[in-house]
Amino acid sequence: MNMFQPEKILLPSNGYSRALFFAGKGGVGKTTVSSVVALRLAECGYRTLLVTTDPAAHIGEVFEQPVTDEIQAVIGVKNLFAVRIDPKAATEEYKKSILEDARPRYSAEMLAALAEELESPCTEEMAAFDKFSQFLIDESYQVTVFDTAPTGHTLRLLQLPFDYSQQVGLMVATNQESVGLKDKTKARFDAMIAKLRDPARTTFAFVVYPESTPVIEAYRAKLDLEKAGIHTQFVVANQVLPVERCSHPFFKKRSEMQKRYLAQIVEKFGVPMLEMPLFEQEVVGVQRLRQAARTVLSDCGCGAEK
Amino acid sequence: MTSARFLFFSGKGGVGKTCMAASTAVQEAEGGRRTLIVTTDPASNLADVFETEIGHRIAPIPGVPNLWAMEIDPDQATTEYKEKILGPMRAVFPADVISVVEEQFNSPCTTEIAAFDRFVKFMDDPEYDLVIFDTAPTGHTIRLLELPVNWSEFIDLSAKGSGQTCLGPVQAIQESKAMYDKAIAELRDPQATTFIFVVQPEAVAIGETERSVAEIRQLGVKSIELIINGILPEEVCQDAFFRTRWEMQQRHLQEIERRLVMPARRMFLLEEEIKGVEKLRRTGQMLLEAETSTQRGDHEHVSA
Repeated sequence: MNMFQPEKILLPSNGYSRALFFAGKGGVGKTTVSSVVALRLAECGYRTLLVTTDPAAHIGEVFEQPVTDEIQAVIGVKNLFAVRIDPKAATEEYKKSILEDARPRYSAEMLAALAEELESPCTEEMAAFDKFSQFLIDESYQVTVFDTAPTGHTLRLLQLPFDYSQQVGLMVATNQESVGLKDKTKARFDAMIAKLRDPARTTFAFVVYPESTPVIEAYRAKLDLEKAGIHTQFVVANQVLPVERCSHPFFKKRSEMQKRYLAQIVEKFGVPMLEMPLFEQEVVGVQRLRQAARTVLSDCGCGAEK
Repeated sequence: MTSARFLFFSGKGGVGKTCMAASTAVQEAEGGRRTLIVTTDPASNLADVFETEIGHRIAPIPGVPNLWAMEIDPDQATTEYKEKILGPMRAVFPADVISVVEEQFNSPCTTEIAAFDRFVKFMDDPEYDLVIFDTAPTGHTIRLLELPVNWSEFIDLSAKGSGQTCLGPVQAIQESKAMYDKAIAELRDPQATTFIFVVQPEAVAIGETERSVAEIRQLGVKSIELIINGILPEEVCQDAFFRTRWEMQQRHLQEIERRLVMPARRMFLLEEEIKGVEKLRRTGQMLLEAETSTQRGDHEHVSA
């Protein structure tokens, strides 16, 4: 069986930053798992950024402090920073930067057409993608943890850089003359693709709970990602019932069902599995996140912990 | 039973939307209404829940007369959508014009619009007495639902300007506007449409649902209901570990009652997963029997 080796899949290597993606069906605990892992790595001394790409993010509720579209230090955890991609705010910023960039180079008429084009509903998706790409290639954090939106949305976000021809369509302002800008954009997409495909720099993990639909959905997504050359490195099984508490037949039955699915995960995915138990209390607030982190990742791979 | 013609299931991921939507669909179909259940979630679980192949076509559900299902595939919907606009243009315009329009389709939002277009079409289909939308999780759903409002404004705006949108010439999509406007009107009509939010008694789900409900209200939707799912039965929570969780849920249930003021039904956690028509039928029966409490919202629209 595959061993979970945190030093190989969670930590930065060769001086490069590490991008860690947590994906999966809605409600399986992606935000909790991302927060727990990010907090543990920050505590181990790695400068860590936690990014949520979910438009319906609830990361602020998990940390019990505001997380905004500006990168901010997480209060109570050294080395940990958090940010959310807010599609509305990103859109405003994106529009502004494109128009400012175009202003000195185009006629008033062209600028008006461009401004109108930017009012399209497509702009929001482009803007969110633009933000995502900035965080992905930012090397100023040693680890960047991405808490992603539910599967379908995330697959789409990740597919975007792979289709360069589609990306030319993304560049509203480049129909004229701006060959340099196109080249620059292409270089950025290529850098993203290279990073996403490099297992020394990017780790992709699925979060599931041991039930039928999350496992099926994650497995389908794993196969989709493989087509793009991205390989899944581990699976987190969340909300595993503590067997010793399941004496009542009701929970015993549920626990046995989970056991069958845990075995299925190991067999189907063929990658290491990290188990995260169901805790007595909800994992909310820095203190409980820290407790959960020490339980789940007593060894984060840095060799420094007790 | 509902009298609405459109039911939208919404809520944070993993709360059991698909199960509640599918159980309702089975219940309504067996009550004699021609029912279609559709998902726009690109990672749909509808086929897993019904234990049958569905895919991007209207498929009858074996064992349940009057019930059909469809999983809208974003890629196929995009192809169909492009063809819908390009097809009639091919006859009139030269190849170079067509290729310009085709190029304009190479925008990432075309997929989203196409899925939406497909879904609006179902709101205009006399074939079914009831269409149930097992929607994608919250953030995405709202974006999808905001689109018709944005689009109508956008089409108007664009028609005054350069006459171009990222979907191609305005004229080509003008006709869609009437259909989109009608869909918005249906969404806002409490006789026609009910939004059902599914929530579990846990801290993060409540805040997220509260935000989504506010956004849906802002879009002008008037009939909104709640299903509180996954409630631990007290009698099985004797162990201190589960007793703590049960008490936590009870606190959250009070919180839900206070913050999500609308007609609500309560559903308990079952000892097995809800999969297959037989279990859906039983769950549908439980949903029907679940007492609707009005959560202090007696001024709200209540469906019996």
